[in-house]
Amino acid sequence: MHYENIHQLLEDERFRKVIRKKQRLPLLFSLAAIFLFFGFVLVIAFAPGLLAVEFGEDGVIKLYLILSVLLIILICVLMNLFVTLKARDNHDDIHELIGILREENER
Amino acid sequence: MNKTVLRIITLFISCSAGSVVLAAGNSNGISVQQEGFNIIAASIFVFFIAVTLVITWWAARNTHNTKDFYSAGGRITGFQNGLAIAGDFMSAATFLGVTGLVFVYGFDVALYVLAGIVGFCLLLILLAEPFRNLGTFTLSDAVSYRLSRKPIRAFSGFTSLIIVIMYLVIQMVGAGALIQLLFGLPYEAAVVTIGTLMVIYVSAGGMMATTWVQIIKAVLLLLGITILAVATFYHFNFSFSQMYQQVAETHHLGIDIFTPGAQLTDPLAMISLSVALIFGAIGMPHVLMRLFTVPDVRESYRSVLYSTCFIGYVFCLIFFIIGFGSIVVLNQHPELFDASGRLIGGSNMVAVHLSKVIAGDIFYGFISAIVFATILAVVAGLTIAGASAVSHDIYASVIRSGRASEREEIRVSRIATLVIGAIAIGLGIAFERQNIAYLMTMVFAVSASANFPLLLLSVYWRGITTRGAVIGGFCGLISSVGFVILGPTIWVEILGNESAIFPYAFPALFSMSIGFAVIIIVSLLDNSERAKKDRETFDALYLDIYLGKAVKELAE
Repeated sequence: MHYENIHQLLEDERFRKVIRKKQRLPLLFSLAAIFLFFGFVLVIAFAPGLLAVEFGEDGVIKLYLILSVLLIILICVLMNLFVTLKARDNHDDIHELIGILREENER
Repeated sequence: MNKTVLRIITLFISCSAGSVVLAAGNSNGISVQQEGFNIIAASIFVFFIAVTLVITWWAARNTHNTKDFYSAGGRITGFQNGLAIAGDFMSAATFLGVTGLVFVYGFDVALYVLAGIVGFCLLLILLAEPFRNLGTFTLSDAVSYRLSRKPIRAFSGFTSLIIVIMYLVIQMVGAGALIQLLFGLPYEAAVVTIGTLMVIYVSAGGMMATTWVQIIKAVLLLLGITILAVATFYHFNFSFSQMYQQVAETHHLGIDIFTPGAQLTDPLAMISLSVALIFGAIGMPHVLMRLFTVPDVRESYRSVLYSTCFIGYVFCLIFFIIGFGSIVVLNQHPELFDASGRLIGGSNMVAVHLSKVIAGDIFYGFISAIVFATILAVVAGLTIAGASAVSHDIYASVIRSGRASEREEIRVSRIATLVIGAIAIGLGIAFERQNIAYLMTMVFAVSASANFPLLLLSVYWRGITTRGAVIGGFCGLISSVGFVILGPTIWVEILGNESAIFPYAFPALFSMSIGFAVIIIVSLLDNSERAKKDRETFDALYLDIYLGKAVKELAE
């Protein structure tokens, strides 16, 4: 992949837009992870009674335990999804922009 | 060089054989506290050492340049690296400590477990791609990419070194006591053995040897924990409801062991602890360094993903089965408790005692050997991170301004390895029987407050400047160390003052906020020439992150 005029690309407003778009995915996913975790922490801290629902015939397995397992699984799923989306992303936007710029230069 | 390595290895084997014999002689009729010489554990462990030394010898033959030394030549696969990262994260403190904490506190430990996993999740999402594409060997490579090299490298090399040395001391002190208990080896001998082995692994075999030691240990640990969990679960006929019923009947907290308890009452303290655990885990230099041992970004994603799955698996087993199961099983064996009702060897010994009573002596030996191997692998990983901070960041970039040759750099890192090893052994012996719980708090606080803001802002914020990064980083460092000293753990418990000046034992929430705030404010106020350059190069940075460094080189 080769482009003659890096400076032109860097100064183009469209390139900044592409960067902003690419930054959105990691920011969105990290916010989701932080939200999930601290949501759980805050519920435990401020409203512990909310999750004390019991399960099982003896009532010893509480919702807390089940939620902690679910949270671990959910975070692993989140990471997997992120990597999948990232792989599909494949730098296409920048390549496309470079193509457009090249055409404009030729004209 | 190979001859030297061989000589060191032979010398060491004869030494360690000698000390094992010595220990065997010593243990006859030594204090009741020690378990006595453990032949099964020792044979498994000697076998582990033999295998790892052969690997080190092989790695030494294949280590020719700095890329080989610092990042195993980028020849580790994503799966292998995932095991190694998980291994770095699962120190003996994690395996033994978390089991012990569940034994005592029950559900409250879920916070540690979840925070660790969320930390890895964020590491993958936020830093894996930019760091992998910008850096070559250390975290400072990426941070100093568009900022002024010397001050940034000097700073982040320095914090990495501080983190590594504090972490090493914790490991050494814990290891000495544990090995004394498990193998009947004297404390000093245990510390010296570990120190010597880690220096050999790192100085001879570099990252390649360190990674393989970590991989072997991780596989052993996964195997050991799986067997322990299955054996424990078998004890309860594979029924959670039966197991948790008995736990509630046995533990003095009763059914409340399954609900958030005394440890999780103050919301602010809880959030601050979580912040330290999550963002501290991201800023650890020895974990970040592993992003560079794989061939490309895809593999580094894969490695973090695998490592999170391994860590999640291990934590689930430790938390839901081994930890809770141990409450019932150990309480059926009064001989494990001393006269005052405390568990012999303290709560760190829960998992080890459990292995003995539930699966017999051979498995107990196996688990003991794994504990030793775990300590060894973690200290080796820390040592190479510390050595590369000295040689790659401080020596090559700051002192020699990037003019050092590869040979020179490797030589410096070998010397640094020796010095770090000596410091770790010295401090490890000096701190015997000291309360060093505060060091762990400090390590995570420094990592979260001095390293993490710099890592994040240097790749996500256009406005960061060199001056802001250095001043803000130092403020994060000073406030995290200062708050721990002024907090309840040191100010009250160790220095004996009435009440703490800083009320929270875990200051990360506050010190990290200070770090971020100072970086942002100083950067915004910075009008220097350098600041202008720092801001302008942000777009170019992204071109490099997304298209790789090759593009820029081609274009130039």
